[in-house]
Amino acid sequence: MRNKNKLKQNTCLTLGFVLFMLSSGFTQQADSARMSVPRYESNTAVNAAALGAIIYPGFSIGIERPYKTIQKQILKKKSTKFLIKNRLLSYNLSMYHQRDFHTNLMGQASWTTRRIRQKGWYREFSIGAGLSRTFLAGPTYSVDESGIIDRVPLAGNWYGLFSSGVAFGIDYMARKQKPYAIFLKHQWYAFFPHNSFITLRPTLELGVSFQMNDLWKATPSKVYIQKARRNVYRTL
Amino acid sequence: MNLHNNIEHMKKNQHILHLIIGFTLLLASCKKDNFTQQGMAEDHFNLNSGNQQMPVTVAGNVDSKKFVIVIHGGPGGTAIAYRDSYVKDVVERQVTMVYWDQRFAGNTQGNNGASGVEQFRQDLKNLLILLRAKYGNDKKFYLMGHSWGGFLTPYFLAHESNQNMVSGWIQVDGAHNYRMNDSLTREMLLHYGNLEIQAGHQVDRWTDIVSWCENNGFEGSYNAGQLNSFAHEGENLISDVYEPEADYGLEIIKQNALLTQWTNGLSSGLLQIDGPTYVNPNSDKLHLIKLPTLIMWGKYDFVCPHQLADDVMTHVGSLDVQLKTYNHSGHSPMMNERVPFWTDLLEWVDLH
Repeated sequence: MRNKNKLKQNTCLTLGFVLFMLSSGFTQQADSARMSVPRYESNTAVNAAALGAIIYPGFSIGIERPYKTIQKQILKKKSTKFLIKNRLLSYNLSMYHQRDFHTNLMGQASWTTRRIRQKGWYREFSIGAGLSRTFLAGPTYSVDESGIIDRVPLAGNWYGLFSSGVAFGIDYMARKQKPYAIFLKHQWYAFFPHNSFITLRPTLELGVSFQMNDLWKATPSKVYIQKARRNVYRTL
Repeated sequence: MNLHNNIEHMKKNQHILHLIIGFTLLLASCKKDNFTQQGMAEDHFNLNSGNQQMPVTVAGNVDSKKFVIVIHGGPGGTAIAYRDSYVKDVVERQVTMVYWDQRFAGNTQGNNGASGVEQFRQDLKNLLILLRAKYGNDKKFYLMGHSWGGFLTPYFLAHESNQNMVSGWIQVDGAHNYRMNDSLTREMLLHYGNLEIQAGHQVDRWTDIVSWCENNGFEGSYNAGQLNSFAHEGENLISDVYEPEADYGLEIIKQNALLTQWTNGLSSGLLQIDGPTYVNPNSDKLHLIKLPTLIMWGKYDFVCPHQLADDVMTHVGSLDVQLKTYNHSGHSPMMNERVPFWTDLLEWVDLH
């Protein structure tokens, strides 16, 4: 009698164990099917853009380096959605030329937060600070107290600048594992002190950026967040 | 042998490099001045005065030997606003127009600088020195002051021997006496406001304006600002005033840095540039001005009422004074009745 009960108990235990192992296996297969999204690799990128300051032409070149990447994956029944949040520091040199007014050279450092969706479409917000130097159009003459006239070489002014901008683009690293992106960026610059106050200038940039694995390699801190129906766990 | 050849090669390259650098420096230092000496001018340059770089456009018929310098309104306006298609196509064919943006105004650039009226006066003197030096002392220069420029012009002319640099004074709806100006604006708004209400024209708006004027004085910056605002509105409520004509070519629009003009205007306001005008009434110094004087005024100018023109007529020291009144104009007759305005101006300049 006692042996029969023991046998029954062992059988139940064994069956339960087998069932547990089998279900784990299925879950892992399902997980591996859903987790087919590669981890997003973000690196230093160089960018170049055609810049328009209202209707006046110019260009911009720069480097951006990610310092933090957050990849969020949401596991669904048959697929995986992901969202990437990048934090970057970028350094840019820009210029525009307004005929009969001035040419303006601008250098700035910016902080950017970028949100990249499943198919690579992204939007970003940035703020920056830097310096600019204008070069006046046309010759400039000064007249001193004695009435003597001198021509002023390279006439222009230094200004501090703040900027704020938004951009939209397609990141082909997220889309197709290709190391480039195209973007459209709108920025507002404030130059100071300008005539004891500030002056403003909006710009529009259309450009491309390329990730360069060997150039000033970036090692952003990476955070992966995976969200499933019941379990949420983080991997660092 | 190879080492010797390399050294020789390097020396040769150094020589070439020095030549290139030297030639570049020579080219950079030998830029020609762009001051047209004959025919039609379209010269653009900047006047650096008192930490501000002020753009100057000299355009027109240099052979006429007559330069009309626009002293624009504001403060904080721009001289280019006076260069509409009629001025460009007709007036500039007969005289040379000089469009100069004052400090903290128009397309002027700079970090900071003095904002006192004395500095504005010095800037104008520096401009005249520069123009005379670059275009010749045989040219005649006329100052055309409009609105705030109508304060700056007599303020300049009455000081020391400044008027010796100039051949004539054209005063266009100018605020040579700010305190008198505010008082006259209030009176004119009350006078015409009541007339318009009796005639049944724009009754609602005129009732508000008249009511405010009856309950408030003209003194103080708030009252002056409110009166100025009503004055601009009042001109638009008078049906006799012609619509302003001011069309600009694309080139002139592109020449303007609109945002800079706007922020310069804000800067002028913040610095209260015209504040000191109340202690520099000009009326008591008009007798010092002996130049031929042309006074041009809009009949319905509420901003700078016609009695200011009478004040200039009465007190100016010149014996050669003419007054032209434009019956369908407000504060800017060069836009309300531009053909008769510019025709009269050109005729007067031609005779002086």
